[in-house]
Amino acid sequence: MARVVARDSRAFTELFDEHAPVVLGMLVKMLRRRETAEEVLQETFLQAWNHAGKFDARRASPRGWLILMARSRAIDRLRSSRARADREERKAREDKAVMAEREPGADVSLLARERDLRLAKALDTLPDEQRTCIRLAFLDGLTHTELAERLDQPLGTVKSRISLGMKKLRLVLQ
Amino acid sequence: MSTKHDQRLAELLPSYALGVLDGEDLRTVDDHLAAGCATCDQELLALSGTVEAMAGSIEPVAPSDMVRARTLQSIEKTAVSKASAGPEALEPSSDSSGEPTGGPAAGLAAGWRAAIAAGLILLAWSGWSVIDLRREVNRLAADREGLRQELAAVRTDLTATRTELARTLLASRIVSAPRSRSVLLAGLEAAPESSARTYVDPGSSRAVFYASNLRPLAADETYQLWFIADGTPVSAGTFAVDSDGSASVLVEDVATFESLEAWAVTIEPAGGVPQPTGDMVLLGSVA
Repeated sequence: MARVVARDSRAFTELFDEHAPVVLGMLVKMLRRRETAEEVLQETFLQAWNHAGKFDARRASPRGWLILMARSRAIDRLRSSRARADREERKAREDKAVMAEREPGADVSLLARERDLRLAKALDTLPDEQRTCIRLAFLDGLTHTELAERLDQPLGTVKSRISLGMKKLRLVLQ
Repeated sequence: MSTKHDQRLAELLPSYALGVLDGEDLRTVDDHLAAGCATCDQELLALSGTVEAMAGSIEPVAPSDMVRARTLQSIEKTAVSKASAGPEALEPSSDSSGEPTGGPAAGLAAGWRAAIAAGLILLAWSGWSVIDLRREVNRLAADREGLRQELAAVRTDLTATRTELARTLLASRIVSAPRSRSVLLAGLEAAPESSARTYVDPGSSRAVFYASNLRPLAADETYQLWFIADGTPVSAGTFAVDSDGSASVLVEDVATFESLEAWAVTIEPAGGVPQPTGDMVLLGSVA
């Protein structure tokens, strides 16, 4: 990263080639459309180039920093998308149905079709309410407030579920 | 600068790491981190690693060549140290701290992800290399065609030079032959400034003719050289003059010196004639 900060384009190329596939994989999952995901990927790496001096190794690895920036941009896209309202409404119905009639391993079967077994299995180790919160936050980019509205739960409950769920995921994924 | 750790705020860090914190909570955490809290920094680093592992658990998607090229090109203008995105991009980066660390399982997963990522990078780079190679092949083909034409021109020049050299050597032998004799031709009324000299080698029955200060002729005219032997003019060939008015002619099968009476140059229709018909411009008698 020090070389990127020093405006070394070769270091930037290495950064892109090493991390772009993982970042894009996440963005495609969040945004559903590859074209939009690639736009956000490009914006993210340009932001990394232009603001490389803001990278703080005490708080994140280079990949973690890139993922955070990419997620922030993707969430902005999702919020500004007009189609978002329809999607949320549809998802709300699906989520309520899932919460009401949940069968063990449902997330695994849902995501297995998309070949994301590892994340699905990790999520499946969480209690239902934590898994739903994490999945909606991580994949759909719903904020605390949106989660509380979507799930019809108090804000404090949502914060707590995410906090507990992330602590468990840390153990599972490490 | 540092601030006191706040456990209540620490509970918000997982959402902060996911990027889904909003409103007053987001501003509060931002301010707290900006004030400097080593404990929260450490917690955030771990949580960032978890989000990273979650993202890494999703199937990677290699960016298209176009997106990769567009991204890398867009930063070139502001780069201090520039380098093309080539094979060196495949070299392992020293900055690999982005991979999750921990137990053997995490290491194994990291290895698989690295292998998949390397494969995708290799695939993307291969596509890029094919485009580059295609351009290189086209460029080399154009270069080869240019070189081929240049070589043909050089060969033509070489042939002309060899011919001229052989002619010069032959002329030199005629001039320097032991029994060589020369005949001076003087300009007549039609070309008073011109002059010429013919060298005859009786041993080889060859002669060489040099002229100077002759004017260029129209396209439908030519100079024609004659030798007169036993009272009969015999054509020794037609010639044109250089830009400086000089010319030379090699003559084969010249009559015996004893029978030679004179050398002459006339202006004739292009292609020459069997017998002289035009104006005589040079004349030299064999003494």
